[in-house]
Formats: sequence, structure tokens, C-alpha cells
Amino acid sequence: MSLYIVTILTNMTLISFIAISAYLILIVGEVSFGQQAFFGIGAYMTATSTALLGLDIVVALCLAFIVSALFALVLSFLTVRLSGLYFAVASLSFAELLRLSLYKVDYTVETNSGTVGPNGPEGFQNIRWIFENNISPENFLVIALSSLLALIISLIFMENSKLFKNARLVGKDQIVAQSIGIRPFFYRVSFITLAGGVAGFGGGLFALFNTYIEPSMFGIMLGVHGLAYSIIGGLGYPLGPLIGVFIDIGLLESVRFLSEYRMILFGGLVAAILIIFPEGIISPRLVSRIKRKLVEKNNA
Amino acid sequence: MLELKGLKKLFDGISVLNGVDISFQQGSKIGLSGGNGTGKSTLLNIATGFLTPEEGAIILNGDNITHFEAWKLSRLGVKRTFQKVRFNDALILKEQLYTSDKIIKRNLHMLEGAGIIDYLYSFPNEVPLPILRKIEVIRALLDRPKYLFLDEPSAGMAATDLNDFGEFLKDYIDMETCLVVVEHRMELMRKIDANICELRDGKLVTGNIMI
Repeated sequence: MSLYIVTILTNMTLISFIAISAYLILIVGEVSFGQQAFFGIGAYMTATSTALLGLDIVVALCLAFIVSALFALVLSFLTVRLSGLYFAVASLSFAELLRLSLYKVDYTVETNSGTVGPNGPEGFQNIRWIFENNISPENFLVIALSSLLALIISLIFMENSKLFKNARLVGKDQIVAQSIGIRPFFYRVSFITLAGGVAGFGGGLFALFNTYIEPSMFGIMLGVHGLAYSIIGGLGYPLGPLIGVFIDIGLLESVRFLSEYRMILFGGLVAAILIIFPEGIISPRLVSRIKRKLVEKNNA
Repeated sequence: MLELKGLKKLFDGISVLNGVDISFQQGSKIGLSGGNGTGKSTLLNIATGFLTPEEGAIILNGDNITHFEAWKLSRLGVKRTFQKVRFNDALILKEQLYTSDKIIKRNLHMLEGAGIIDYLYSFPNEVPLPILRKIEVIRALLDRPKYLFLDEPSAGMAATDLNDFGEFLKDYIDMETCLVVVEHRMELMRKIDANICELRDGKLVTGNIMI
């Protein structure tokens, strides 16, 4: 595989983590414009733990997950009484607050390989984990892709659990949820927190792959794309966000010859898909229909 | 016993409930009637935790639960249905019972007797309203409620359907449950032999119901 394709595939894998984190929040009925911040926190956390503290990558990525999840937990508590548009705006403000704070984080160490550590707007340079461990781009793609697969498979298994069914009910109709004894607060908090962790984990991988990160990388457009992918892909099944990513990045890359007109095509495509599939490609109704077909087949 | 004491509720300064006392005992059937806007649904919403009263208390077996949220009351066995049935159009009805296959199997006789078993794999928009109403009641019954509030179950139902619905309630609501029907049509309440009380000008005219 050429380096170009490997890089594209790796980027698609990494942005899938944001798409899935947006998906998890959409399940409980909220729209978050702030997942990029948790991605960024995970990236900074991983950079710090590998480059500055010399921790193992597994520990570093777990830390990225936990710390971003904790920030998301704070967001979920701050927004307990907000929903819909208000939650969307609050999540964006929270994300920008976190991102802009990164401009003020300044702690650098001089090493043989240069300056290491967060350096305000200059960013965090020399995240040398992939060089130190001789990880080729192909190997890194395998690492990223297998983490993503593990995540998707566990989400698919959890899809039929009471936790996910109740969460979907909370997202659809909180009144019915309450009437059968489901506490919406619990599901909102857990899913927003989990989504933060997932984004942070992806951000951690991004920092390792990119070897350099800066606050401006984690702006709103990153989150908007993640959100768009899960909306295009549909909320019926955890594969939805991945389909969104494939459609978007696959298309954007294949029409690179159109240069700046690509974005017009992208916008038109998103609009067209949402006209044809108002609830995304893998909509909840489609999933129910397929399930019903399978049951009928088994009974026949 | 679920007791509502001295309930007062205002909407935009207009008094809807003005000192209502009522108590519900397991095994009893109560019909709550009254014209439009007399506060029937408000009373139901307060009793099930979806609204909080300005004044007054809700007491469940001696404990003050006035400020409990609806989900907590539901877990304590205070359940309800809705005037306009609430289902998710994207899920088959079996999934919307929100219970395990084991419990569905154990209650197959009820699903069969109520005539809804053939609809379990349908989407809500493929099913007639009387069936949906029954399914909403069954969703609550599968959880063995102690108090079950039905909000205008007759809305949108023809006389024959209502008769059938009454039979269904008589057959499947046992002595463990207090059934409260909020209605302005009398047929259903007579059918299930409910003790009828009426809300008028924010007060309960027939007084306390103690059985």
C-alpha cells in the first residue's frame, strides 16, 4: 500500500472515533458540537504521558480515555438541565473553553531530540513514540484499526443490552422512559461520559500518529464532521458512523482534482443523502425491519 | 395506600386544583370524571410525579413522596398510560414493552387473551389504536404496578372498542392493583364498576373516596 493510502485510512480510522462519540450522544437524544475538545484532551494527555513521562502506550491511551471521560462527566453535570439547542451551544462553548485553555498550557523540556512538551500556541512537538518504537505507518494503521474494531464489536454486542435499549428510549421519549421507571439523568451522564472517553482515546492515537499537535487542530470543524458522519450514517447501528466516514472521506479524496470545489460537492452530497435517507443510511427503522425479517425467516 | 392531600396547582396564576384530597387503595377501581379543563389530567400528572403541586403532599404508605420524580414513582409501582399513545415509530411493539423475553413468555396468556399477540412484530403505525392502548396498559401491567393511572383511554375509541377495552381491564387487573381511570365518558367507568368521583372548580365534589 502506498503511504498516501495508509495515511488516508489512518485518518479515517481516527476520525471514526469522533464520529462514534457523536453517535453515542445522539443515542441519548442530544447533539454535541464539542467532541473535538475531548479528542484534543486525549491527544494532549497521550502526548504528555508518552513523550514527557515515558509511560507505556497502553497506560497512556487508558489515561487519555479516563481523563477525557472525566471532562465529559463535568460537561454532563453542567448541562443537566439543558437539552436540544441549548445543550448543543453549551457543548460547543465548553469545547472552545477547553481548547483555548490549551493555548495557555506551557511546560517544555529540552531533550536530545529537541523541545518536548506543550508550548502554548506552538503546540506539543516531538511526540516520538512511533519513531522510538519503530512503528511503520502500516503497523500504526493496524493498531488504530484494531482498536476501532474492538470498539465497534463491543458496541454491537451492547446494542441488544438493556443499557442501550433504555438509552435509546431516553433519547426518543423521556416521558415514556420515566413512566416505566428509567432515570434519564443516569443514561445521559453515562453516555456523555463514555462518548468523551471514546473521543479521547481516538485523540490519543492521533497524537501518536501525527507526532505534533496544537490547539488549533481541535476546532469546531472537526466536531462538526464527526457529527455529520454519524447523522449521514444513521443511528440504527454502530456501523452507521463508519459508513458516514467512508462516504465523506472516500469521496473527498477521490475528487481531489476538483480542488476547492470539493467542498461544494460534499455539501451537496450531504444534503442529497439526508433528503433520500432523512434518518441516515442505517436508520433505527431499517434495523428494526431487518431484525423482523430475520425473525420471520427463523420462524418459517 | 397512595394519598393526595390538599393539592393545589396553578397554571399561570389560574388555579386548576384548589385543595383536592383523595386516596387510592390497592384493589379498588376509581373513575375520575369532570369536564374539559377541570384538572383531571393535572391530578394524574401530580399523582404520577410528572408535575409537582404548589401545595399539598403525596403520601405513599406513610412516606412523603411529593418531590419524587416520575421514574422513581414508577419504580415504586405508580404507573400510567397517556391520553395520546406514545410509541416509537422505528421499533416493533415487542421491543416497546421494555421487558425481557422471559417475562413476555410468562405472560403469553395475557397477550393472547387481549388479542395483541399477532401485533408484537408490527410497527406502531401498522396497528389500530385500540390495540395500541391495550399494549400501553400491558407495558405497565408486566411490571406489576400497585397503582395504575389511565389518562382518557376512551379518546379516539368507538363504542365497541371501548366495551372490549373494559372487558380487558376487568380480566387482567387483579386485586393487587388500584386502577384509576381519568375520563369524561361514563361507559367505561360503568363497565369496570368504578367508584366515580368528579372534579369541579378545582375540588373533588364527591369527597374523599375511602374503600
